[in-house]
Amino acid sequence: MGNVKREFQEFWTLTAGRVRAYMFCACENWPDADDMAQDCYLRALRAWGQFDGKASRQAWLFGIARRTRIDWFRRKKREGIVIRSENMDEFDEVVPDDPNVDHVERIWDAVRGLNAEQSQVIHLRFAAGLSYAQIAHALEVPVGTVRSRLHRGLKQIRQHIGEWDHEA
Amino acid sequence: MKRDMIERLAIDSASGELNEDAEALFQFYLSGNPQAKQWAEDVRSVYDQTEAAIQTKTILAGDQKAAPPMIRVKRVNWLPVARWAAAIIFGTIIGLTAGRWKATDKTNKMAVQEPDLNQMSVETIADLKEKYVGTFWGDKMLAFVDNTSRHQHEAPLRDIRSWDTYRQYIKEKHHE
Repeated sequence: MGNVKREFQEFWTLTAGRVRAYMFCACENWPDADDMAQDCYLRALRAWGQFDGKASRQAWLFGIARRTRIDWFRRKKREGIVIRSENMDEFDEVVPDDPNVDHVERIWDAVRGLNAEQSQVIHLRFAAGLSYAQIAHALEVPVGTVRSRLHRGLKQIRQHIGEWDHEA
Repeated sequence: MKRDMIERLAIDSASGELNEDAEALFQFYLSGNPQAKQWAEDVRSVYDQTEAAIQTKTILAGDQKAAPPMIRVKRVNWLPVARWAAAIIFGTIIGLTAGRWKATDKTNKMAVQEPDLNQMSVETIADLKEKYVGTFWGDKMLAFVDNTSRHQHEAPLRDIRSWDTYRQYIKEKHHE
């Protein structure tokens, strides 16, 4: 038990930031992101011994994170709670007086406009920093599908940015 | 190569998913095709902007001040629970058993010995009369006993008379 405890703590130190970032992409506020991250790690700890070793621990963890995110939103929906984006205050703290704020927000708008499959890949790639193989394992799809979704997602983002530039 | 393929390879390259040989070949191809290079740079720019935008907002994720979620799985010690449960069950059984034994005495009234004058025999009334004659409560008690005994004897007679009268009336009517 002590060994598992130490292993889990090391694993948490290594991955917590990326799991939080991944959760944040879904709800866009830190309290909810932390809530989801805690749920995710609870599930991971319960299933710690069931890891089959077919992929890396991180891919396995983000598979749990993905399911946790889906379940969390389902639960909130059942409870009739609407998740609002409350990140702007935190965002202002991060980049005060940054002229690129509009540009960043524009890209986030574009990501929000993607379908769930594409946005999952974008979040796992850019927020969690997973490789194609790890994303494929987490999403339970082939690597080729990950590549296609990433490509289509980026094309859509480019289109969104282009439209915005055209309007500006 | 088509634009779609160039863009896919450019994304793979940006993600570090191309091996060394493939990367070298791709860069060699781009160096000889300005149009393909433009397409690749275009999609690479979107890739970098998206990465930067997401990381700008999620940079706080690494600034976690909360303690690691080291969940201590508590094992429930069932022994005290079992003891309490046993004590409660034992107490309940004892209580129920005692309750069954005493069930007839539910009202918990004091048992008062009151003379039931309606059932008193003539001898008892005579004894009471004898007992209370000449005492402080003598007159009252004698009046009470006399009244009760008279009603006691008269009531049945009155009932019998009524019944007999009724029977007589029925008989007469029948004969008529």
